[in-house]
Amino acid sequence: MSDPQNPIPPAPVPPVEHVSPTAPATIPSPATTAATASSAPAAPTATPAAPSLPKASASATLGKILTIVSSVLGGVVGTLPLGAVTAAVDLAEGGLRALAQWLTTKGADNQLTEAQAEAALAQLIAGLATIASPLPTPEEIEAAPATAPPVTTAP
Amino acid sequence: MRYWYHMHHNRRYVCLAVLLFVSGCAIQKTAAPQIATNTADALNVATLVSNAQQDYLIFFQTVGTLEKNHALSVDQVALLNNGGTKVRDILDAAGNLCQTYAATNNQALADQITADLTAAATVYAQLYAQKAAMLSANAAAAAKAAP
Repeated sequence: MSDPQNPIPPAPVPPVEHVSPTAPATIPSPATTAATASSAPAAPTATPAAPSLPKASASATLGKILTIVSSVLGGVVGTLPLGAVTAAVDLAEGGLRALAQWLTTKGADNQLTEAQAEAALAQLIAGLATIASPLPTPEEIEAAPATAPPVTTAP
Repeated sequence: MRYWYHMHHNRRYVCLAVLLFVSGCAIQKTAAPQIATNTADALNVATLVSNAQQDYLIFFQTVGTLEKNHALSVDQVALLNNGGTKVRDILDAAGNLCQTYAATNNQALADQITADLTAAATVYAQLYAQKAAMLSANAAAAAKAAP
């Protein structure tokens, strides 16, 4: 029997009984294990950018292209804060549009016959703004988009 | 420093002028012998003028949108419009000459149209740079004013 003056201390509770009710994840399913294993290298404190490396690379390449075009056209390199993004994209858009137009139209009419070329010329001339039928003023153009869709050139 | 700045701006104007010109070369005369030289020249020149006129329209449509979105102030738009009026006059004149050139194929007219387009491209490049600087300044001011 036990001595009342020297009681036997209670047996220690097995650690498993403490953990199992509240932490079912300690026995992960195979899927969880796989997911944990695959995401292990991408722990937030270790290498957060590792899984998104291809995307970052693609956007970096695009950004590089836009920066080069914008620097050539406008001299606005990406050193300006905040507004530089708008400016660079705007400038790059103009440059890329011209380049795309060049790629799609350069020599594209070489297969025309003489008659077709003359017809195209007549149509183009008829559509040109001249002193007789001048271009709208900047103020008129700026006011136009509120009532009419913007004029677009060939893609 | 000033030299670099000067050269940088010159390079920009040249690039824009080149882009403007190459973007409109619809017919390569050497690759299209079936098309008469006069017709090819007139068509190419007319394409250049047409592209320049479209660029003018698109530029000020964008300016109008930016003004409506309060990205550009009224004063800034007025400044751009001053330059735009010059471009408009030049391009109207070029369009007029283009019609005559298509009928006569006079080389002097072609030279004048080329000069007009170069002048328009120069003003246009200045407008582009001005607009970019304005947007940057406005964005920087807005960022500074934000809490």
